[in-house]
Amino acid sequence: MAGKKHAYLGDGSEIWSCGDCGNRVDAADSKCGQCGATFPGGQAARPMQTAAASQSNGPVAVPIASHPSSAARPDTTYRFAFHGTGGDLFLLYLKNAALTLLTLGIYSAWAKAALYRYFFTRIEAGGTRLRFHGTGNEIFRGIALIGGLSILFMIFKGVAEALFAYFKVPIWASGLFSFGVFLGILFLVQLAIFGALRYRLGRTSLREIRFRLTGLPMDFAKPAFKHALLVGLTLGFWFPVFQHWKTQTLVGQMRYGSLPFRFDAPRREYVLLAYKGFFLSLLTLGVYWFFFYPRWIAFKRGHTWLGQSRFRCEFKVGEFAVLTLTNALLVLCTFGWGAAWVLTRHTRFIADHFSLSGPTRMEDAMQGEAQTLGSSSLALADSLDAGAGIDFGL
Amino acid sequence: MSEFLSAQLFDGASGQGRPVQLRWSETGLEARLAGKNSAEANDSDAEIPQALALPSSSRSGNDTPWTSLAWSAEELHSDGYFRVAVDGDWQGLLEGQSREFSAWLRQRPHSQAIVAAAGARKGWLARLSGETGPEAARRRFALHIAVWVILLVLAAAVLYRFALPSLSRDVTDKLPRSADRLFGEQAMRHLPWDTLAVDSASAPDIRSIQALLDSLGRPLALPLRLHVMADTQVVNAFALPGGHVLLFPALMRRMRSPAELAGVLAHETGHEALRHGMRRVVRSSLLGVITAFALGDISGAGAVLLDRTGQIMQLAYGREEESEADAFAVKALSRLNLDCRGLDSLFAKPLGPQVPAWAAFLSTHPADEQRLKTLQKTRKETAGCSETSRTWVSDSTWRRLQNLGFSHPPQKNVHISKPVIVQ
Repeated sequence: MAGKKHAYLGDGSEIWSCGDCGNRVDAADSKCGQCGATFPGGQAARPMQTAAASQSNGPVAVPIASHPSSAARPDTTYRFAFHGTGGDLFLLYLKNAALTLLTLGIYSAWAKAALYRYFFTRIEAGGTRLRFHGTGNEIFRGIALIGGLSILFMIFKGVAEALFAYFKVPIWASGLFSFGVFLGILFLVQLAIFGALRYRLGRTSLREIRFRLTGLPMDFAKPAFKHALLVGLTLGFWFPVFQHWKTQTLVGQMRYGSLPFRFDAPRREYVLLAYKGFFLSLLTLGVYWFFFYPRWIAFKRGHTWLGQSRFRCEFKVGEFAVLTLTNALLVLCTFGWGAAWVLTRHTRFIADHFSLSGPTRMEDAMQGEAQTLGSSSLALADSLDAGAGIDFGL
Repeated sequence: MSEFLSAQLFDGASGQGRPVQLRWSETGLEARLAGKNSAEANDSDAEIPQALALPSSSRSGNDTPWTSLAWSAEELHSDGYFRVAVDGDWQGLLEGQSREFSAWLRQRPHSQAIVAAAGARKGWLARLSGETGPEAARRRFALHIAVWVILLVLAAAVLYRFALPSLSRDVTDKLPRSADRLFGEQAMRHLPWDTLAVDSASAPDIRSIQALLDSLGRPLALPLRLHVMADTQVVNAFALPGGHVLLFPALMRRMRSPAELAGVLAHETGHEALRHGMRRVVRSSLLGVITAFALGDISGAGAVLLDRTGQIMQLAYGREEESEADAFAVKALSRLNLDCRGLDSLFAKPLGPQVPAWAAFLSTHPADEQRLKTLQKTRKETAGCSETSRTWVSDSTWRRLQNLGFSHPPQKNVHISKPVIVQ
């Protein structure tokens, strides 16, 4: 398979990535650690300046950075902000609910698109705002497809159960069938997580440069399925390992135009921190969670990179506790009607503490290749309750 | 207020924004390249990729000529953020932030017409033409909230009162009878009661009830299956989709005549023949799905579709459906030449104070005055519905049926032997 030739314009330092899957590799590597692609001539990475030579067969590693003056470049810090208000969002909720009821649910696809558009266009990153290009039509097509498949699935399940009853199939055999169906759904969930993230990224831009997710859904779903099985077999203890792998894989395949994202948290540290947070929160009846969450977010974001720039999201335990408790009160006192204000308060809080800093600049991003996107994964993800919500837990 | 507005142009080839100045002219919106922004301070022009270079006529400098923009409105937020798509010599998106933007646009001659001509959304024009102060914004917000709350309530009312009943009727008519059987089987598995264990002595008595059901269902080719339940506390009878008729011994014990039991069975046959149970299932599913969609929860919609069976017994019938089943019962009984006053007699007198409301036939089949009147009217209009009708069961069998399930305490939720479903 011919490697993809990304023309990365980066910030200058020597970072190399696999031309096939985008995984970061060392200059001396002759094989990609992630997708196993070998680099021709036993040579790991070819500098971008010799791009003509890289037209040969097989994947090539290309340098992410090639900015001539990058070595002397000072760090740039981009701050984030959220400009939405609870009132506006509440109004949108009302409008969506009314139109969805009036159209017997059909409007929900457009409601979803409007909600995404609302959030995305109010998130400011480094002085400019995100833009959501997805449309209700696309999402509706996705929902219709998944709806049709769900009906087929229900018919199939009903027919199978009727056949089992007719032929008096023993209980263990029908149990085995149900387990098989469960495994199938578990696999679909993994595909949906990938597809939904790919759709949302592919429909989002900043400074007119699109985000995207590289790689193939099956390449993610197969190992993810194994991880998910291990989570079940270990009664949940494998979950942090799965989460770490998922974050590392998906973030590693995310791109902002030509600029790659990267997640480099050490697995051991990640897993231990997750265990500690979970068990201490359990033992202290949730009190420790207020201490754990700020640390957890700071740890995860501190290990997330865009090119050579690092994200940060740090806040104090006290301010987070005040936010969470007041949000909880807001929901309770308004019997849930305050959800819009809670969501905007939380998003604003996170955005205010979010930054990206380092030599890589958003201005360096060049438009990457376009992606063909289907929104069915988004609907599938929602119908299977996976990957719902804006942040995918990465 | 400054004469120009600052914005950045993004051309879609790179993330490099080009600072530009905007102004109104006689011909419309014009732009020219401004000085470098801070992000570019350390880069030389030579480093800017060729793709980003603007037409030579609009290179930076104070004497730069202004370029007319063909543009269309994209976004204008209340905090002054604006995004404008441009097409022509310059291509891409113009983005800027200025609290003065709307005022700046409003004060320019013909700006509203130009904005409208440029394909602006209504929100732009509203913001441009109206007051822009916080008081006006609050008023507008309150108005919008009120309008949408009213619309939401109206939508919910229309949906519940008109759209759902007719839609659920249509959908049910399209569904094959096998769907009823599928749902009925599922619901039977979720029953919280056991079936009564029937000994050889009482089996013939129960068969006589089944025989009546067979007679009721035969003209419609509707197979009905009787299930006598073991619970002696519940005073009820109801039908589940697929032809399942559930009868609780305590209801029979409190009845005064076989005609009342015949009335109840014929009434339940009516629900089944008219597919009221299935219609309720469809209606409840549709409502659940639409509500879940309205709340933005598609996974909830899936769950609603997959799990309606457990709640089927909580789906009470509406007044119209009860009256339909009553009318069916009167006609069916008169066709069989049976006494059709049973339902009147049952509704006329309470079943007894010791029966908790939740467990009583009357609580799940509320009989208001209107329904009684309709019932009596139907009875009077139905030919063959007379007091001299034949009885369907002998006195001795009826006495045994009234004691059914009470002879071997404790019966509640206990399997005496393998449950027997009387066919």
